[in-house]
Amino acid sequence: MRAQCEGGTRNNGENMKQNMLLQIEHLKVQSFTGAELVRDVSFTVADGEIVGLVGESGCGKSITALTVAGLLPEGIRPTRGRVVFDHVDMVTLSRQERRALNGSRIGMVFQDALTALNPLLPVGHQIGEVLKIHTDMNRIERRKRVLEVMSAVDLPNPEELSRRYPHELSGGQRQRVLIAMAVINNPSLLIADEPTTALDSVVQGQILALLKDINSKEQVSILFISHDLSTVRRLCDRVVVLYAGIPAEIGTTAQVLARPAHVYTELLLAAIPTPDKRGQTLAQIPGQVADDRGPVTFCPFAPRCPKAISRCRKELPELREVEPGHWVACFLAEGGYDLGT
Amino acid sequence: MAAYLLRKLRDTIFTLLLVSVIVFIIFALIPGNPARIIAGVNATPEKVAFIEAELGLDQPLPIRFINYLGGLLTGNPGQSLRFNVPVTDLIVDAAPITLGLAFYAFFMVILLAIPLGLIASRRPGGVVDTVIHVVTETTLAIPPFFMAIVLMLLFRVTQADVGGSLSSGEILTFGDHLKMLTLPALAIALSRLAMVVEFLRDALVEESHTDYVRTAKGKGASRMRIRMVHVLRNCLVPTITALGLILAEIIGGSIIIEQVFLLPGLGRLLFTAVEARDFPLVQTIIMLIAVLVVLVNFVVDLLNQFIDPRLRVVQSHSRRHRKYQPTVAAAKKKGNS
Amino acid sequence: MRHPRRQSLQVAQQKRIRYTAKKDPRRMAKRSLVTGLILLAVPILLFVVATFFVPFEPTAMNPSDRFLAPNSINWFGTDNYGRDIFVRTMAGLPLTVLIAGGTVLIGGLGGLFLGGLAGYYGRRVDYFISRFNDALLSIPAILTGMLFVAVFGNGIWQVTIALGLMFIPSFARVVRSGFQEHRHRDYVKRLRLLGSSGWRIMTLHLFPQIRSRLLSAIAIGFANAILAESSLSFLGLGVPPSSISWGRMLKDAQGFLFQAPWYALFPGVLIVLLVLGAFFIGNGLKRIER
Repeated sequence: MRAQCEGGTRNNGENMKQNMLLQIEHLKVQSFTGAELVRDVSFTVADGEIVGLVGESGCGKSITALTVAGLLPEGIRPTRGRVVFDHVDMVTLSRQERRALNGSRIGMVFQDALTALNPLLPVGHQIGEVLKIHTDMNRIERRKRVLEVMSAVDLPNPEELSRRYPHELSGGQRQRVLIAMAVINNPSLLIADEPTTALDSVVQGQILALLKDINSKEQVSILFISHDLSTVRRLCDRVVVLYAGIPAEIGTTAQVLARPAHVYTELLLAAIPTPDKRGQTLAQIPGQVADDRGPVTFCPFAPRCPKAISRCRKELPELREVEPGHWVACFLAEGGYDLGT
Repeated sequence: MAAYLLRKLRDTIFTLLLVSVIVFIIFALIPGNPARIIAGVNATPEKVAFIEAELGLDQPLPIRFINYLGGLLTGNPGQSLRFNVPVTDLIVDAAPITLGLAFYAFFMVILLAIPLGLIASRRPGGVVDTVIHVVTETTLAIPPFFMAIVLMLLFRVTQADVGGSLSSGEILTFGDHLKMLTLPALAIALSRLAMVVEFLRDALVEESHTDYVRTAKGKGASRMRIRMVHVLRNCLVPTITALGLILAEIIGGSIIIEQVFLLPGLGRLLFTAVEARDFPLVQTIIMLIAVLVVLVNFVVDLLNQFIDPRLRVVQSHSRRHRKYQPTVAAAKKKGNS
Repeated sequence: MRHPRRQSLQVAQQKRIRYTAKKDPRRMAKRSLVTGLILLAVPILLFVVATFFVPFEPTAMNPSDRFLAPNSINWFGTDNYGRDIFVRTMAGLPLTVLIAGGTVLIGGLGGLFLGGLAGYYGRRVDYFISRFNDALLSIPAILTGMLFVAVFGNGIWQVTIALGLMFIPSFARVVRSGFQEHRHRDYVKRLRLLGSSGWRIMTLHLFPQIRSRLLSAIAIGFANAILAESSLSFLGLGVPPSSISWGRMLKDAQGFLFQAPWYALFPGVLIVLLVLGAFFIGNGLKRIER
């Protein structure tokens, strides 16, 4: 396949020495009707790194995360590429082997914590279930560890709270319960699928701080999925911008958010309300992600791109390195591309 | 929790009161002079007057209602006109057979419905699911007495095999009873099975696509664990609600089935009482069954609360907290069919 | 390069997908309706045949032909009086349909009234009507039937009215939940602000919303009414002895169950056909709405 894309895997120079915990290579995910939900995604997550996966709804970011976690809904499956977690290709694992990883080495945090928790079981019980599945601790040990982890995620009064049911907790508390569940076995990778979306902004900040805290204390890598660039800015080391199942731009948070090289990223940033844009009309990107789920032959963003040139509608741009560690798939990006014909 | 319990208790008592009013009113509507009807065409006026006094018909309606209610509450609802013994004596003799049969059938429904629902929900829309759906739907269309007839033909069992020895007053062990009542109970259970299977199956299918199941998968839980610990628990409330809804029909079914197998239960007693226009007896049997159904549904409610903590939230009949009880609301809505 | 193991995984996944591919609900609904109509067509066709093309009278006794097994002349055999079971059974159809129809009519109108009030006005009205429904539901339908017969005597009207009353709660529930859903919608609030009367809102705006649901409930109610009537007749408490009813035929047939099993089977199967047909139509209507 296209050699340039390797860059997405290798990423920047400093990270080269680090151990790559998760490597996604040319991942393609299709539904049983043949629709391409993720078309060709490659990126890596290094040990202890927080990588943000951003994009509009329908761009394939959640599908990518669910593929890593092996939780794709029935009828959707990866049809090409590899998902290498700690030197093992997850796509080829049997169901039992997957199960052994989930909850122990890979933790998942979901969006809507009310529906993500079983309404009929006390939350302490649900946190403890992870231990029951993966360890041979006895009841008392489990209980001790549950309370420990509950206070680690700043849940007040764990003793009492662990006996409560999900509907009796606040949204932020429920999210913390989910996080406690995900980190109780000290995983190497935490996948957080829009964990702050359903929360108000104050609680959002607290949860982000908690994730950051877990990351730095436990050296847990985090794959953070969000549609909100401002939360990504606060949390992530690196960012992968997805558009229509293809990475548009990959780089460190500073690179991507300060010097966006892809028109799409530029527009996304322009659409965020910030104090200095006070009084101005916020930019918006016309149209929506195309419904077309067939194979792509040219830049999928071209139909909506205000700067598109004729080449954009003929060829698919490949990821190119515009500065060390900063990769862009756009003909208009400075450097790298010959705009000639 | 306590507040909710009290509210529920109040509703239950109110419903029971309404049942007694309805039953009473129907009897108050008896056209002409019931005493004369009972006494027969050739009865002397003294006889008619005696029966009138016996039934309390010479008193105004409200007084009659209070007397009747008082009789029920004190466990002395009156004298049977046909048998000339206290109604309660007759009922105490006959009730165990009917209630035993109903309970047996109820037990069978649970025993059959849970595995069927579990199997059907494994592949929604698959062959097994479709077959189970069609079969249960068909059994729902078979009246219980015809089901009993078919079973009798299939297993070459006669009326006498079942009812004969029970009526003859032989001393029978519990095992004998169980063996004898199996066929009648099966007939009732089969014809009432469909709704429970459908509720359970639909709930299982729906619940296995919920977010908490995904969370459980994310924890690394096995399929078995997800199904038994997470999914099934969430399906219990609609299933128990369905069981509560079919209870009345199961008791109704056992009253008919008794006639098929000539069992000396409430059904036969009621039948005799209706033929003989033994009003106190009819009234009391119907009240007894209605009270039983209402009370069991009260218990069902408590059980559901025990399972689902969201139902413990105090609810009024206003819109408040409605969003906390999706399953029960859905189940009740489905009860229409 | 394809990993061999991965390929087998894909095959397995594809298989699973084929099993669980969702069926089109409209097609399912149509299939259900067609099945129901076919099931109902059988008794109707047989009725026409029996009435116009078979030379037997339903009540004609023929002592020499007692308990004939099904044959080319008496298609479904004869009973203990030598009457033709086929003709006799089919002669029972109009009465069954009449009683079931009357039951649904009474139950439907009563349910529409009570359910409409409860669903539209809510609160206290709803509370009292719901308790009333609970009370009615706690008495098995068969018992109310017996109660009515005890009080008013045997007869077609008694049975129809008794069953009709017992069917009120099930219809009331459908109407109530339908009205409740729409009662708080903005368009109803607007109508109320514009001064529409409750009656007008209910009949012109809310009723059309629940029409298909009501039709489905009517089909299912019809099926249940047939079941209830046949049960009552089976107990000998339904229609008067002079009229032909399937339940009563089954009661008579029970005495000769092993001697002449066909006597019981034919009326029984007919009940099942009719009930099942109505069930399928009801379920089809329910699915169409979704």
